[in-house]
Amino acid sequence: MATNPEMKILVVDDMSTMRRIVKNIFKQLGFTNLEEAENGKDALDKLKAGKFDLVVSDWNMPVMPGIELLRNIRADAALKHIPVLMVTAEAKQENLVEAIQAGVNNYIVKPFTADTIKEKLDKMFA
Amino acid sequence: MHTGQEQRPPLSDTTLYNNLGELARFMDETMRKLGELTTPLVGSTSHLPQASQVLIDLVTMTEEGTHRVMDLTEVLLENHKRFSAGLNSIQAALSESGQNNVGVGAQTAGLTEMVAANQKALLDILTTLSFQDLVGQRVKKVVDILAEVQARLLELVVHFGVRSVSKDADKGRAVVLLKELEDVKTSMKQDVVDELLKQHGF
Repeated sequence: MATNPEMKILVVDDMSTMRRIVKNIFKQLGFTNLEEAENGKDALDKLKAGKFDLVVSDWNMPVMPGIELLRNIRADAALKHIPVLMVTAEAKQENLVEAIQAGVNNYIVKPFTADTIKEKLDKMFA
Repeated sequence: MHTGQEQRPPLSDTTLYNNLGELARFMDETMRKLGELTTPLVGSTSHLPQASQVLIDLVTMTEEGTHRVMDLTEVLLENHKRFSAGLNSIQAALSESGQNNVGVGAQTAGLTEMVAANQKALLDILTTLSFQDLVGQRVKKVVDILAEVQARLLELVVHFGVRSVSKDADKGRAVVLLKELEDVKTSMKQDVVDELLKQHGF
């Protein structure tokens, strides 16, 4: 499955600056169908309300952290197929293992570059 | 009956009176010292919310500044996109005209390369601004620690400070948060994450 520039991407982060950075990178990579959510719960509501092709989520967020969002996505029959890319400052080995066990598709550590995002996307949608 | 313990001689009334007096004076002195301690403790504790607010304000300030830099960077990115499109049009027009103007062609090609390099640099500026998020997360942890410390100090004030910090305090939230802050220093870099992902079949 190759990346489709039309695909709908949900960017989840509690920091507005981070959402803007991620959205800008995706725009530069040619993706224009981008939406954002402030936390896991907000994201889950949006995912249930509309069809999304990719979730890019932070880990550390109030209300519902990214790992819980990931578990909820994987536990929902209608959402479980959506690829999830974790972009986080939580960079301990146990975090990564926990995310893998929860069904993450790939993992990026902050701070990151646009090249890293492109490389991960290419891998996820190869 | 032999108890195995050495029997103490009974205290005389005078000795007992003197000992009780000494104990009473000790307790009185201790209470007075604790009373003196409470005032600065309450004073210090009352400054903690103010310190936390200053830290939160700093995060807000950096967030606003970051958005301003992003506004400007986005304008430049958009302009560069137009430069790039304009240069492509010029190159296409030159080709269609059939004029073999090598000099102009080379110049527009050079400008196109320069615009592409600028676009990459601008994108790097945007991604570098993620420092604001990382700083914000660490400051939030410090604010949480301050709140925990304040709660504990107030608890000490309420209980008049007699209790020393119990062993359970080691398991307190402040300790956990401090450890998390320390852990940041040992966070994995992307290449280590990639190696681990590879080991898990990614």
